[in-house]
Amino acid sequence: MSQENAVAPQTKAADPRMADIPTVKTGFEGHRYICNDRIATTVYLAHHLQKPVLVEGPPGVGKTELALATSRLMGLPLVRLQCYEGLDESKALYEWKYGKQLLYTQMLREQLSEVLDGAKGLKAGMARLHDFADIFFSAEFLEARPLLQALQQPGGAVLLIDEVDKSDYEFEAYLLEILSAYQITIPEIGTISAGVPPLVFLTSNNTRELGDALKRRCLHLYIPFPDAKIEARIVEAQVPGLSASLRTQLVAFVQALREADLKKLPAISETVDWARTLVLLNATELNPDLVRTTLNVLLKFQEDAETVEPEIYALTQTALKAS
Amino acid sequence: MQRTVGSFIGVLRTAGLPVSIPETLEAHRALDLVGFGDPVLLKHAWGAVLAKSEEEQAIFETCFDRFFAPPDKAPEDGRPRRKVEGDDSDRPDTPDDELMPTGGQPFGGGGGSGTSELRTDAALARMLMEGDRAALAQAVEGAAQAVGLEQIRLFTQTGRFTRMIMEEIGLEGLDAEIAAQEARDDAVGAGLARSLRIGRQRLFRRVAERVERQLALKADGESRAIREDILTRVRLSAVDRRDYRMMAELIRKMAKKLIALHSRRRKVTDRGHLDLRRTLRANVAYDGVLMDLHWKHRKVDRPEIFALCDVSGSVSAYARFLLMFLYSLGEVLPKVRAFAFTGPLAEVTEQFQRHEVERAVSEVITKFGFGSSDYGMALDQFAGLCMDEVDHRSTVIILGDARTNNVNPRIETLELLHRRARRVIWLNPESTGQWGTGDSAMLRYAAHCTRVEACGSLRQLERAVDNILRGAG
Repeated sequence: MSQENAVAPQTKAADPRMADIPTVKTGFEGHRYICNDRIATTVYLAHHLQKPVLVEGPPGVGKTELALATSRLMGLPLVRLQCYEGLDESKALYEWKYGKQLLYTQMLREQLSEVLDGAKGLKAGMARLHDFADIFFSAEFLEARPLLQALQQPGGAVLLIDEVDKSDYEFEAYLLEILSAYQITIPEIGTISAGVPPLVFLTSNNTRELGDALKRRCLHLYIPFPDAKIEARIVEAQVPGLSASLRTQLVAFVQALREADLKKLPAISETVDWARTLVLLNATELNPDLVRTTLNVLLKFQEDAETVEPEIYALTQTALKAS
Repeated sequence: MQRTVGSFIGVLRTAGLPVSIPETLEAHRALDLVGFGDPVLLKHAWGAVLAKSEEEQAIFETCFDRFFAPPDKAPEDGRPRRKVEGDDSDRPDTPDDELMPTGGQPFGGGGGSGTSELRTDAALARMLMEGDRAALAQAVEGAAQAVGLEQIRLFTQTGRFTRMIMEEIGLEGLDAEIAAQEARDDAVGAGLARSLRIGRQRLFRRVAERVERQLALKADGESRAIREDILTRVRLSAVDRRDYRMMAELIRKMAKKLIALHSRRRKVTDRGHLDLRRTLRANVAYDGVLMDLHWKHRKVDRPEIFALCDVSGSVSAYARFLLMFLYSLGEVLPKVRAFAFTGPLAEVTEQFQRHEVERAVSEVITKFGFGSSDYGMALDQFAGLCMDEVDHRSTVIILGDARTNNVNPRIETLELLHRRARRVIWLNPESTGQWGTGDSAMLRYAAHCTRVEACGSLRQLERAVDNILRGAG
């Protein structure tokens, strides 16, 4: 703990973009990411406490987008690691450059006579060999994968570990060292630690319960579906071409749709897609026919579309009243 | 400050959040960053630091609201209000002002100052008469700490703690004062005694409330742990309706634990992709000539589970928990297909995936439950649906009492299943003594099961599943 405390203050505390929570919030808005207080508070804390953030929530509420927006806000490069079943350390942490290592051994063999030149007996030969610099396992033959890359960025980075729940249980163990101490231990070389600790975001769709050890190392942030006000502002920021009245109707419609019993509820990304569609179609107002023809943008399952079909008229009417 | 944070974390721990020491330190650092000024902000910040899942977030917020709810209004405004006798305009503006002797009728009714009539040593009586609420609240808090109210665990202790706090504040002195005033035997004394009695009663009530609040904060978790322990041992049929939610949690916890324990067996196979790194490392000794090969591919043992659950009338008391168990199994294992049956059988995997546990389980029960069971028909229908998919990787679990209602049990279907599947496991909620009695075909079925276990209580269920999974390796 004492180590962690020691790193914190001087390097980052001065960053004006993370001065206080309202600043973070407006900063995000400047980068077209509209967020609530909870999100801003968590990012603020993550920056100052240097803790990773575990972001959970239904698909499409902007979990990944949060990391992208943070990287834009902080002007830091984004290093992204997409997790999947079977992801292992050689794809996530580091890998050796085998080809070059093999060439190196061959070079070494050719030089062997030079090295051993004049050495008498086995003992002297061994002593010579030990004196000879061995770089077979050294940083030069190290191929950095995303996690190591993030640690090596000179000015710090935003590291996004996407859909960590898709990875295997074992993979979580690799993450632990990075998440708590911002370092990677390579058995052959030693420990590589980050000059400037990256700001880490992990996202999860909860397809599997994450281990407690991982959770304990992170700040936890749950992003729910936004309320109508925030959603309207998100649509406004993402699709500026949409008229205000249509925007209100559209958001009211989607909000009402989320109350229905559906297999997959429409998320923010669907709302934004729908808004873009309506702009393309030059729509000025919602009407049942328009909704019916564009519903496939919002609902991704046929059975959901069938569930909603009979309700379209009523839903549209309510949405129209909202504006 | 540190103490407040410490005791809040204590509250969280007893409520079931496993707050570790590093997290406590984080909480302190977060507090330094955001400060006590804005409670909402602090709630967000601590929520991020201390709660690690949605459920934990909910628990955290309840605890936070309870803990930091303004305990008394009096200390807040800081200026203790003194009552000026006979002056009605200075009546307290808050209607819940319980400790003030009723403002309308000043004690004694006479001209003299009430408090001056009191004996000098009765501090508590003086406070009551003066209505000094700040001082009273402070006295109550002080006494609560002095008697160790934080240690309260069970609601049966409330009476004792209330009494102890009252005595600590100076109940004895107050009683003596009342007696003394009554003994004076004049109008002023009687009036004072009456007011004091009222004050005493109200003070009692306030202290009792304080004790109850502490109990709600702290002991909830403790008594919960005790209840949980009882719940794991009680027979599933005897679990009370109000404990369903807790049961669901327990079952889930159990399934998670079992899976974590058993799912991590991997086998290294000898085909697939070459693991270059390991191979090279192993072959440096051979001058880089690849002699000793290592393979990347590891076979992860992921059993495919078909689970059949009897939901008929005879097991209705158990069905709910068996289904909950199935549900949790589906949450932690990737390939579980769940079926429910009485006579006719239906797949319920989708219901389980779509809805949360309580809703899914009640839906299945109302849809399929409460008929009389026909194991023969159910087995046949299962065979018709899935026989082709059952193979040497599959485990078939049947949850039910094997009470056939005297129809053909179709033993041969189970035999066929047993031959195809890797394992057939039967979990029977009846205790072993009852197997084979009456219309139970358990013993006949048992001949074609890899394993038969009784699972009458949660603990038995856990043990049974543990055995099963252990056998899997």
